[in-house]
Amino acid sequence: MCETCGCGLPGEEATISRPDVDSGHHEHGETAAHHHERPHKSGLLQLEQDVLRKNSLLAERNRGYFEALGIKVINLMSAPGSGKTSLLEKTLAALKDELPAGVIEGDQQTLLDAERIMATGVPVIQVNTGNGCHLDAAMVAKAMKEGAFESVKLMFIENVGNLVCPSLFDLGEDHRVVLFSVTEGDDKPLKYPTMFMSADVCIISKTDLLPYVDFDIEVARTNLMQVNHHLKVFELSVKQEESLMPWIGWLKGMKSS
Amino acid sequence: MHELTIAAEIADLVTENAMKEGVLLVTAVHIEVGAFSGVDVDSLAFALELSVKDTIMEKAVIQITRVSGEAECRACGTVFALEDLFMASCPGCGSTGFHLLSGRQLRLLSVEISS
Repeated sequence: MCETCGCGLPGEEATISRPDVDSGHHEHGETAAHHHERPHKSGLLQLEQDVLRKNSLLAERNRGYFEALGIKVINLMSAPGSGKTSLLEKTLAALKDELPAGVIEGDQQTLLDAERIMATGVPVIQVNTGNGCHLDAAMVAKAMKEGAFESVKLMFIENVGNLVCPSLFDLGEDHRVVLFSVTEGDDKPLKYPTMFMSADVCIISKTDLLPYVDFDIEVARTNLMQVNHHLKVFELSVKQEESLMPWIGWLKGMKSS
Repeated sequence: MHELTIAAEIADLVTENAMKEGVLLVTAVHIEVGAFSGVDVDSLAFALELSVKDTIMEKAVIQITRVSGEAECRACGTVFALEDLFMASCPGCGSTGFHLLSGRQLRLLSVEISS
């Protein structure tokens, strides 16, 4: 009995395979005079598909779009309150006149961060994710179309404050920058390794507070290297302008690379 | 709780693949989650319960297999399984220098279908 369609004709074992073979419904040959209104199938569909495939494809499309326009893109990620927006404010002020920048702000709610960025004179779009805990590539594609980013050469995407979820979602960026502040503890990289593994740059922020907190910067560096020894590390405080210089210098160097 | 996004993505992927095959009912779904994928299996199972409502896979048995990572020692070439990225050392020579061969995967392996 044909197990695939139940047509009563002798048949082989029903095997439906994907993606290499289009149809697994076996042929009965020309003598088998039977027809189906629609194919009925049962069995196993071998898929082996990456669950994040759609986001990854869209992220690659974003990457191509940015590359074509000569825009470098930074995906800025951290826990809430590590100082992403404050760092952006100072960074945008320092880059002004030299490198036209734009910002996509990701938050669950409110325009508060976008308003802070707008005050610096840089074009900005706010993405409110509602209940979402991260930005995805589709949100970035949409934001790029709606923002006044025509002259932008450096795009900052400030992700939703969250040290877990954004680590899984490629947005089409050139660099994934993760921040953590000295008030959060030097063991942060070990506690959230997925994020620190996914990044290529790490910023230890609020270093002006080092004298007041139990944060061992050597331990922090060791922990970072243990998780991801490819990380480029900056240590800075937005309260100490000179500490921002290596970071600013790196951003400026990026445009020609 | 990115698992909810991922669960919705899985429901979409299953539906998409099943529709392509003209399938009306999905009886089982097999998912593979690597130990270092950043996805929590329990959260994903919970999120899937919500995400499959009113879909072709509403009644499907969902099997999530968590697989440990696999690494290759840079010093002696031994391939070994690992659960902890940072405390691991090579069982062959004790070296802590290794690279990950697998463990970050998050895949929809297969679906079982019925007419």
